[in-house]
Amino acid sequence: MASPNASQPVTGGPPPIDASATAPTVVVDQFRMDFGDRTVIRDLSFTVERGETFGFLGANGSGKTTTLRALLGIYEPTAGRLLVDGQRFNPSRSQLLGYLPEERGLYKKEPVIDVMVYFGRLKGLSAAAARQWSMSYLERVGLADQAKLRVDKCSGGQQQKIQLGVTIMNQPELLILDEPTKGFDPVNRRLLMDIIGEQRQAGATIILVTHQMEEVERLCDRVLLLKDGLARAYGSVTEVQEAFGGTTVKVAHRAPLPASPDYRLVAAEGDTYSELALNPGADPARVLARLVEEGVGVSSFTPSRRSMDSIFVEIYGAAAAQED
Amino acid sequence: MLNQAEATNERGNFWTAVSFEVRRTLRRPGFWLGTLLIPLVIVVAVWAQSASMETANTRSDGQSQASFDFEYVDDSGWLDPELMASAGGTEITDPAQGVAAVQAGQIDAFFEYPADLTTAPILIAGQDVGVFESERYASVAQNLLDLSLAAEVGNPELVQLLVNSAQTETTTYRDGVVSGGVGEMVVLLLLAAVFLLPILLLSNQMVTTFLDEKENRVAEMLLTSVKPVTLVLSKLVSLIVLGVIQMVILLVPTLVVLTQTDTLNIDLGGAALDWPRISVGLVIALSGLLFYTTSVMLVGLIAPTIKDASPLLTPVLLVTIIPIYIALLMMSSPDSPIVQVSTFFPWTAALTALIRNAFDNLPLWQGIVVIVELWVVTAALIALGARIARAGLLSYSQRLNLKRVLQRPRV
Repeated sequence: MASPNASQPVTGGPPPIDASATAPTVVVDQFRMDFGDRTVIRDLSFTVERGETFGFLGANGSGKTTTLRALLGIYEPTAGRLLVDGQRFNPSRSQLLGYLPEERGLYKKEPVIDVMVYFGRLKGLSAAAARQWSMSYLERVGLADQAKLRVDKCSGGQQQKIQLGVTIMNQPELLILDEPTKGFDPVNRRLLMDIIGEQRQAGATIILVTHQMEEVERLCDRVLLLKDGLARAYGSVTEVQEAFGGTTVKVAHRAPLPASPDYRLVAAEGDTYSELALNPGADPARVLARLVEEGVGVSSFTPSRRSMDSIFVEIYGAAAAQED
Repeated sequence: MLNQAEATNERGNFWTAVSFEVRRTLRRPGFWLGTLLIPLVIVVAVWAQSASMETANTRSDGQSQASFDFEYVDDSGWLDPELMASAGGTEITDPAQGVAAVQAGQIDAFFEYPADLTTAPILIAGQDVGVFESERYASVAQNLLDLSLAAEVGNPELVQLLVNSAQTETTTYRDGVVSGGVGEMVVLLLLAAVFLLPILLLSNQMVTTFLDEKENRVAEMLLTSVKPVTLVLSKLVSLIVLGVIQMVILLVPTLVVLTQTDTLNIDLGGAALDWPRISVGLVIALSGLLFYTTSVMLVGLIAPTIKDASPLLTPVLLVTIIPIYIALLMMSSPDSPIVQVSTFFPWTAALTALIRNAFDNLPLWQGIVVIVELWVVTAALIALGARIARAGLLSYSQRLNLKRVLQRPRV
């Protein structure tokens, strides 16, 4: 289901909950969150199906982290239901979860191995299993000889690797990554992508919060775009692209383009280059013919599928895209 | 409602968090430096003070002027019967009779002067009239020997030398049974000291225990694995464990030193210590530590950084140690309004009660009220801590708006 109109919130409840293996891993139903007089999330509903990779997208301040915290029981919702495997999440079920929060860190003055074993134990592993897993992970990422060093003696990139290890060490069924590539160097970004791939293969359900739209197109099965606490688009990547003008055309021209019911302008560089989103039913060939007829001096005309990046810019504005 | 597996997991996480906190603190050299340095300083200070007081006491004849009825046995043959009689003494020949008369409350004191004053101490039995007042028996016994020898020998310098070599050994009695005397007070005051030690040494850790999670941005990951109340309790228990470790480190060697070393001239071995009072003191010390730790920990939950926490910690610490400054008033006027307020105000209650307990003027009912009060207020603070823990931890570098948090249901 994709939102046909970006200005309308998605409504409608989630499918009925059942305990079977096909039931959604995450159900958010009519979720509202108020902080004092301020409503941060308004009646948000969506599901995350078992085994899928779900992109939870939005500009800064749109309510993504608030929703995740409410889902994980850190915040109490003002209204609505947020369920993981059919139940309200509580920390006693942390063995199911791998969570990489946006605000993240490690105990800086403790040895690497101790910190990893500590979090492993909190996630339900035995001390021996946590130690064994940690050592093999550190070996994999080339940090085996740093195991007994204090975390603050490791470089920033090494700390990111450790953080990733802590997130997945319990083989989570639900992996929530809140802006996972924020601050990551290219090496660790690649490691993260590998890890996401492995977790997907292992059958984990993944919720990915990111501003990297190319990652969304590459990794996500479905997405939800949140703006001001409302779902502005929700569905598979293709559905969302269709809803926001499935086809775009990049046009190089010499004169300004005329207005047309067949397309709308989504991006422009001066008066000589434009990116157009074709409205449903519009034929690219017909659009080209019209532009030639209008004498705008078309020098190139390249139809392509609408990028998530341009959809993001359309919803949140260029300023939001730049700050991200 | 948690199912059994989840409850087990929660308990496991509680102990995992406690063990992590305790072990990482015990690994810090600073913890051991502070813990071991203070007992050493205290022992040296007590030794120095005791040595100087011994000299002062020997030379002081102020207390020896105090009059009371006593019996004595003179195996040395040096005592002047007239002088002894004028001081209120009656000579007898059977030491057992003298001790029995003290126990029965018929006389105030009994002195047994040995045949050889250079090798055996003057044995003293006396009514327990308080830690300081009971000291007069030894002063009088030595002073009477001093005066008798002066008349006999005629050389004050020689007398002084002789008397200085004569030791005393005092046993006090209360209601016919041996009481603790100075030793008992020392033990009870030690409880006040062991209560203060973790407060002085661990306050910084107490206030920063949550700041570590905030500043390292670990809070959010922890809160998906541990409930806020479990987190608060695990922090509290780990700090108490560390405090108790410090208490034991202070108490055990100090007691050994006090009981085994003649240098300090404090005899605990022969005294029947007042175990009910000591037990009350121990429970007050632990309750006080629990309460103080909880309140300081809450300061750390509210403050965003160590820099912000320090100004909030200072008043709490100062109020807690205020009773030291009114200790003399506690000794002379335990019923005065200031002492009473200090006894029942939660932040001063523990130390006040411990000092008054050492001075033997804390009624049992007041001790029990203080203990109950400390536990009730601690429980209320823990509930408050659990309520504000999420918001406090997630406020990271911002100061927590307590009013707003308490208005919300659980955030």
